Amino acid sequence: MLKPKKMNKVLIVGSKDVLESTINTLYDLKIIHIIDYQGSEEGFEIGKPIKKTSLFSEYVLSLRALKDVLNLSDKSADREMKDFEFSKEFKERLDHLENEVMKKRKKLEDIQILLSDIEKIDDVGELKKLGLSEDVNSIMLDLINSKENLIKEKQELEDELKHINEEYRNFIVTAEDFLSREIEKAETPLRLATTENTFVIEGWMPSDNIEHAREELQKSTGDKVHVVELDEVEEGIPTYVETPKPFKPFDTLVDMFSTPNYDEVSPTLLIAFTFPLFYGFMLGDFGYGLSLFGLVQLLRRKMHSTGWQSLLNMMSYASYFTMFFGLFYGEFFGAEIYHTLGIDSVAGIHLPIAHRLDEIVPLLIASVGIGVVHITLGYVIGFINVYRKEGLKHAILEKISWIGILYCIIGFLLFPDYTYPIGGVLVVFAVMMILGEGMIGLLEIFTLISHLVSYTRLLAIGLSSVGIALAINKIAFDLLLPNGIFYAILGVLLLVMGHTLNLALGIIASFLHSLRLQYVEFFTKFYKGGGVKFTPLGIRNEEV
Amino acid sequence: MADLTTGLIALSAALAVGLTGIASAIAERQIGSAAVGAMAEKEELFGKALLLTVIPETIVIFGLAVALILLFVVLPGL
Repeated sequence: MLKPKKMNKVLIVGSKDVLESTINTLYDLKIIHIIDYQGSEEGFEIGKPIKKTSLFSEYVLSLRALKDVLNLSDKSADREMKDFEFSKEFKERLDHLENEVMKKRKKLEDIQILLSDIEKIDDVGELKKLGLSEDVNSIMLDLINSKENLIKEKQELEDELKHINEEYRNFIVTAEDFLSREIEKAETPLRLATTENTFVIEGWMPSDNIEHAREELQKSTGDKVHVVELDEVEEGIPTYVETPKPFKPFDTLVDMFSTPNYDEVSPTLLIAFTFPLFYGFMLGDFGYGLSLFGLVQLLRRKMHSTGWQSLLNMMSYASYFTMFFGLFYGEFFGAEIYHTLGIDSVAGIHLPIAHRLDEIVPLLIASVGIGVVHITLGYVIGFINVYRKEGLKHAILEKISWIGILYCIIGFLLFPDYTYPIGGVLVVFAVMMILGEGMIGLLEIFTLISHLVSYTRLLAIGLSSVGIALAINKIAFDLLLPNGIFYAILGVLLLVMGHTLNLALGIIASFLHSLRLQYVEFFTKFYKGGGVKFTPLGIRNEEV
Repeated sequence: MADLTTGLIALSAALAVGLTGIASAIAERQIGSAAVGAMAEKEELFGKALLLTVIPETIVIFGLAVALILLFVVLPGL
């Protein structure tokens, strides 16, 4: 799960008359990452697209234009529908639809321009004063009088467009999706090497799937295709990490930094835990967590694109942690919950466990403590990566030495009486580190210290948010609400607007700082990245 | 009645947050304007640009940590 899947290079060789069915099979299986043929071998040419592409392209262009005009770009297609009659009838239907929609839209735009012009004349008023001739005046008056009719016409056109939208939505989206796929299939030969009668597909396939692919190909082409595995170790092996589905959204965060290399551990699963944890630690307010949860549920219904969905999935995890920490700190929109409700302790635990404004020092220490654990984890993964690539000696010199240095620094802080023994151990680790990374590593010790201090943001970001929330509550409850109806209304307004603003700031700040802790403090300890993402034939860009 | 030491500690805490805040602001101004420039050409960069813009916020967080330690560790220990 943490490790990218093992890949093998494969060659698929066959005779040209089964090229189309080979591509179709591979397209449906979605398991081969094709290496584009550059046209550099003698005797092999780049393949030619399968016919019918140009006609399809034409259809797709009109369908995309329709999608654009009717605002359908975020609707997903109904994949079940597959049989389209690409006959003359289809073309006529499409042309007719396009004409209709474009004509209506043009008309609508014209009316809108006319209406805004009339508006201007209306404002200027008193046309007569301008000294225009009678004829012009009467035309103007007619125009102004026609305003109502125009508005009515506009309404009608909008209704008609809406009607078309509802009736043809499914047809347009599904047809566009289907045709785009067909075009992609038809253009696949452009990425392959071919001779007069044969073709060669070169690509990467997960080792476990090769047997299955071979069987399927032989079935669909009647044994006319040969699949060869190559034992080449090469640069540029694509990375495919099988992340369990609930944690898939966090792949985006890792890929935003850099795609994992083929031979390193993918940090997605760790981030899936630490990112929402840090987020909750920073925002940490039950009321804000609840609002965030509601917001996520609301947006889930409105935003259908893949990017939004994965962002919202992450945020829903984050909202659970925020609510949890809200209970931990005992905060509800900045107010102290337990005190207000009169609950003092549950099951012998004093509540709140740690209020952020009262327990600043313990929480400061806790946040650096979390940092120590997080950074250690980073070095441990680094150890695994280096161990697998360069062996135990390098791994100890480069990573264990750093863990040692980290704990020596902590030792100085915790046991000020034992400076000399700890200093001695530190020198040993520092020498190991210099052997592993060179003299330049000495400068990195300061970076390590600054990274440690950087984890205090876990408390700091939260404190600023609590501070604002508290100020809003104080102004509203103490100054405004008790002073008559007018001030009370003002107070409610301030509460709503103030907390909305603070929530917006909190959501963004916690997100960015939680992410930053992953990228700058965590990833730098082990992550190289720079891999190529496994993008098999059959998965289109927007789905990745 | 607070003595001079308390006053100086409070002032130091204020300076720690205030000056580092200015430093963060200067750094963020430059990154921010570069980020907006980049986004004008390529809108997808929004996420990355936003993240890069908050990187120097570390400076003011260090300042805040120093101020908190001054106020809640050093001051009560006197």
